[in-house]
Amino acid sequence: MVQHSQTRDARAEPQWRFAWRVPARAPWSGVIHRGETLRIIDLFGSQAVDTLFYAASARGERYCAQTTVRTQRNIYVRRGTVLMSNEDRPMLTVIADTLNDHDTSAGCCSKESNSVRYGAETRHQHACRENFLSELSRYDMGKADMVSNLNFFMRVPVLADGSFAIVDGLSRPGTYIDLRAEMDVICVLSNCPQMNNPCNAYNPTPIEVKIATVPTSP
Amino acid sequence: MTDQAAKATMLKAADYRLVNLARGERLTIRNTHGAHGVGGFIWRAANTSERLNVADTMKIQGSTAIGRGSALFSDMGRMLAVMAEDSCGHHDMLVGGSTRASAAAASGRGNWRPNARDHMRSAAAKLGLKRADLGSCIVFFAAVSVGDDGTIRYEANRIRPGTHVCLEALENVHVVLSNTVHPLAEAQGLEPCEVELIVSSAPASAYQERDAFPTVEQRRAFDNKEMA
Repeated sequence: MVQHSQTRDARAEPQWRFAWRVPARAPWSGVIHRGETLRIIDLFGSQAVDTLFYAASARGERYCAQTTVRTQRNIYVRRGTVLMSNEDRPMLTVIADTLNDHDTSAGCCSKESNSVRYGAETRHQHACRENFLSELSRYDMGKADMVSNLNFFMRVPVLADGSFAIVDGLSRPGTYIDLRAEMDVICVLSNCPQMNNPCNAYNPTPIEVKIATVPTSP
Repeated sequence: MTDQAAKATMLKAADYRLVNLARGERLTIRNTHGAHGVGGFIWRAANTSERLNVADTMKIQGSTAIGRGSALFSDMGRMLAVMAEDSCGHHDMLVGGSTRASAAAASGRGNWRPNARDHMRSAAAKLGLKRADLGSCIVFFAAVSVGDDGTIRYEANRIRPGTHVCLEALENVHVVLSNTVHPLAEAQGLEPCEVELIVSSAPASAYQERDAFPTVEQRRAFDNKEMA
């Protein structure tokens, strides 16, 4: 009987303990405990969400894109990907993903890189790095804590000759990704404000983040 | 410093080296024996919070492949160094260097072996820095290919003995090099071997003028030199 009811519970709508609509261009952060699920929903489609994770107990341990790529022998993040830390430990696992092939190699936009990629006249524009820095400051973290991040819902194909460019997203309204925390983590994200390439379809839009107390998928 | 004053030293297999380069100086890595990977990370000496950013390096130059004339960018829209010479043509910024876990897996018995991450942590500590001061790194002399579905593979036969790369510093920088095998090569059982390091002054024709840079992005980054 007990097993039966557990199976049913796992299939029921998850118990969301938190839900928040992140405005266009804004940062967000929150703590996700081990065993909980973070859902990030691209409400309106084609919206890049630049994301980093830190171990809640020792913030020098954090998401490491290269370790994640090396461990799974693939450059894209998709269902089944285990997000690894700079101590070779699993931080979160992608347990559901209605898109697949999210980027984790292209980093986030910044005023500084915008000035190089698109000209000095774009330096005044808001950028993910500004969101990360202000949000990280709330945890007494800073620029050194920023590393190559996840770009959920952003597509960056690598061609045979090494060509590497941000292309039109395939994410439709309501597309989401579910991440089960394997340790207590701080999630810091930037709802990307970039207007100079197609990562947000030239129209930054709100997203939603939710946290469930249990894994949303087996 | 004249060319005659160039300092050449051996970097033994499984060892690392911290090199300070003044703006305009060059660091040449001669891969005499065909080592499969020399990990590298760079900090700007004047402010070590500014450091190599491989994501910006790939994104700004529109390629995961870097070679002669490519710059290594910092997180502040500046070029820390330029690859003034490159006869290898295979350098990795997607997978990065070896770690305790990759080394333990490759050893087959879970043993500790020298690895790029531990090397870079030690080098950072000797500069008074912490693990947070290290980001994703570059691995010179490592041939990683990416399939259509994102699968990565190591192409060992593309690395030959007798090639070299030469970095010219565009700022005063600290460079750490870890002479450990790339983790994908390590997984194939390949072992490290010594490489030669040469520090020299740049020839007069070098990259210290804006016009030396072929791309508009590099020239804009050159213009960011004097920004705070």
